[in-house]
Amino acid sequence: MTRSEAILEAVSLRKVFHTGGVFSRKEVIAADDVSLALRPRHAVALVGQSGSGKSTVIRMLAKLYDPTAGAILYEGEDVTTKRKRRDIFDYRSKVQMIFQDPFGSLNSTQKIDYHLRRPLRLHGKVKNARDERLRIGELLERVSLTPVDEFAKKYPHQLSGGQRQRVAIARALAIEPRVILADEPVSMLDVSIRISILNLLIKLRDEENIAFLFVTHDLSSARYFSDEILIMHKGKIVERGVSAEVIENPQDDYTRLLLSSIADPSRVF
Amino acid sequence: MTVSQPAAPPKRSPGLWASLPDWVATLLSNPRAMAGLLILLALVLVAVFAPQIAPYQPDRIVARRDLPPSSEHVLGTTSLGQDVFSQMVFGTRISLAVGFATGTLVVLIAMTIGITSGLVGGRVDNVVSMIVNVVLVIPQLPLIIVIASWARNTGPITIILVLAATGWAFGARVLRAQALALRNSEHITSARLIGEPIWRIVFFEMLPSMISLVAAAWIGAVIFAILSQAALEFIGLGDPAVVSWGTILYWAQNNTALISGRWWTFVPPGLAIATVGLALTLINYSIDEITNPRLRRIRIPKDAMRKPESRPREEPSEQGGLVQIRGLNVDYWTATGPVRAADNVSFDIRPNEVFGLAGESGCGKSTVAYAISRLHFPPAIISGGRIFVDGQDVLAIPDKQLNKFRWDAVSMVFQSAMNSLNPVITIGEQFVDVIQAHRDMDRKAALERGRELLEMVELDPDLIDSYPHQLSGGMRQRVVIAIALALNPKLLIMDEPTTALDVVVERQILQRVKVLQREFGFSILFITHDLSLLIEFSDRIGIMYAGELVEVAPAKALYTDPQHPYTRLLMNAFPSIHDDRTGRYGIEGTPPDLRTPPTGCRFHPRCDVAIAGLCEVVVPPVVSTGDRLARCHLLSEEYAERAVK
Repeated sequence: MTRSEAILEAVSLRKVFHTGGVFSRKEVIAADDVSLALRPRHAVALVGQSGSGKSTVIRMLAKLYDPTAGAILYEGEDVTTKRKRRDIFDYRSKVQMIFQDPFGSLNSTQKIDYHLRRPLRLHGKVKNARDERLRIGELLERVSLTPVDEFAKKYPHQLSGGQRQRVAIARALAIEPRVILADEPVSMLDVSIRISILNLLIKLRDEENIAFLFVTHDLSSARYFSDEILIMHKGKIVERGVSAEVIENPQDDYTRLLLSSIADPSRVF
Repeated sequence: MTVSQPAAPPKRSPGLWASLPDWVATLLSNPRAMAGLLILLALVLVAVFAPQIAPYQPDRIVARRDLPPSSEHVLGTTSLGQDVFSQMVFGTRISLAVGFATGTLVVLIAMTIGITSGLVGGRVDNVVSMIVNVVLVIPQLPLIIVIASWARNTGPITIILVLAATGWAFGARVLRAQALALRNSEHITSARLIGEPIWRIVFFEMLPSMISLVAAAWIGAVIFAILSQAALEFIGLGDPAVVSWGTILYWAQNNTALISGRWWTFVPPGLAIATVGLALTLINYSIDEITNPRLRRIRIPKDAMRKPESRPREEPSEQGGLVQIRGLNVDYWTATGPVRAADNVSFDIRPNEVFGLAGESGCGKSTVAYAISRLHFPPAIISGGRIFVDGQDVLAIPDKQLNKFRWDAVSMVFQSAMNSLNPVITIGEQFVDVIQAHRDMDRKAALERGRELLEMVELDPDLIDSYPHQLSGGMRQRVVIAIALALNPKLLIMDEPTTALDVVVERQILQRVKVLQREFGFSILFITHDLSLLIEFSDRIGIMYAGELVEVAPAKALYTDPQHPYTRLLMNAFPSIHDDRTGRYGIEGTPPDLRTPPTGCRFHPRCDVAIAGLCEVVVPPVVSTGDRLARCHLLSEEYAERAVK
């Protein structure tokens, strides 16, 4: 695949945080020389442990943080320095994000249909009330929250963790993005339901040509979901390649250490 | 996990009630809050209908001076001959108006400054915080006295303005802290990402989470304003021509009512102020209960609260394990009654064994661990069963001896334990504390033991002089494990001990723990959601589902030949790292609500091999074969016989 096919590209992104109060200044390099390219119908996993800088990278791509250096290209256009409200709004109508915590990412005082109605209205996706109801139902159906009328009228606390995560996915879908940035979307869910959420994301990737960046600390789910794996360590990408290749034939010492640390009963018995 | 999850709010009837936010409904169902609201409502009605209620004009001379209460003048007359009762009724207007106006103004200023500061952050926040801190240390009442005596017009408006100008800082600080915490929360970020305008983020995303804080700030400001106004007027800084509770007191004092004992002129205003304070305090207290579910009162019957040690003692079985759990029931009491989080759980942990316990969130695995070390507090109650540790009947240990039992026989390491080290004393002191509380050992020897323990968990013994913040998360968790092992416990309970750590660090720590366990011969109860890790690390494993233990087996047998369908599905729910990618489906559905567990086998709604007509009707028997057991109809002889036929 060539570079030109990429929708969203990160070119040598660098982020330096300044910590300390007014008088003391310490520098922390959270991400350094991070480059990656996201393509339609393709998932890239950014794998690293806590503090590796993977969350910083995804937040720069969501334009929640400004990079210290480097560039973000959307369809080849440099969007790094666009800070106007309107420009950021346009950018986010194409690039959406899903969060780790299904209990924290929804507004507990509003019903499920509110969470879908807002993005539909804000991004002008519906013309009238009837249209709106139909679209909300359709979105809930796409994430398998049926019967839709029942789910639309529930509050977040009445749903399980997996169901809430489906609502969060539906909210991102409402905007009809071309890129979804998923920040540890299954790590707070029970192992028993993780795969169903990943299967849903795979379906969206394959059937709707969405480009995914999947940030995770778990190599197994990275392998299950992604076409390509990038291993991040101390702010830098230390290894990258086709998923199976990285796992079966790791080149970097840190990747090997990471792989040998993962529990695998088949190794023991 | 069940332990920390408050029960879902009780169902409400539809209609107007359902359209109210939860916290309002809870407020209205709280007797204390209702009492407060009713008193307040009564006072407001008195203020509104003062002309209709008061028998006389408050400032008119209607009778002889200093008359004691009589049927004509319920609260007597003043030194000028005015009716005290009528003055009290009209005074309610001013006092409440000043209180409510000030409270509202204070909250508006506090909200604007606090939320802006928290939302904008950075330099603005630094400057605002500095100003808030300065305003906070200004003594309010003396300042008000100075300003009030300097201002020409000291009517109610001045008092409102002065009180508001000095009273906003506390509320602003609380709301700023809350806004700062909410700013980076995922639901605010989500709202920003879908393009919500800033005003909607403030009003629809932030304010609902702050409403109880705002209400508390308002109530505090109202009480303070009413008291301050009365105080100012009492010392003569108000407008004596206005009839209010404060000026009634002022005139009473001026006319020597306090000395001559004409109580009817000064007791009523005092009582009225106290009543407003009481009403608002009642409401405020209920708001605390609502925001903090732990304060909520749940009625637990007396016989359920019976102290465990008052139960008859029993002896453990001779050939059982180090830990013997027999028919353990743990109930969590909710507003709608008890919910059984652990139901008839029985298993043994043998000496020198790692016993793993797994299951989905809320299955009761942590509940069992808490029960073994008697860490449950109401509303969680051990309602049945026996627990023996090393021959000791745990549920019969008197409260006073629990501390000794907890460190000497059983010690625990939790997921967030690394954050539980005391940050202000050195690692060495923490060892000394624990060791000296249980052993007759001098400081020097205890420190020496501490160094030895640090070496055991592969840390540099010189770290004994460092403080917790100087160590990484993994190092701190090693310290916690070292402290847990300080008194050579028979059983070490580890509840998700390494979930917050990197896989690399996790593996290193667990490998070390395993070496120590083999060397010193203690037993481990290991709880984690990571089944692969559990299988690698444990000798035997128990699987829990919906409060019940559904399978117990040696780790290898469980991995190669799971007997319970749930175990099999759980194990195949996620591919291992070297698995070829194939479509997998996890386990359909979600764990049941324990308030209404499914009939028959609790797993039947999600089971892929459930037998219609049997599994949803009959509770499956516990079938034990050799060193394993499982709770499933498919394993029972009756079913096998039926299948053959």
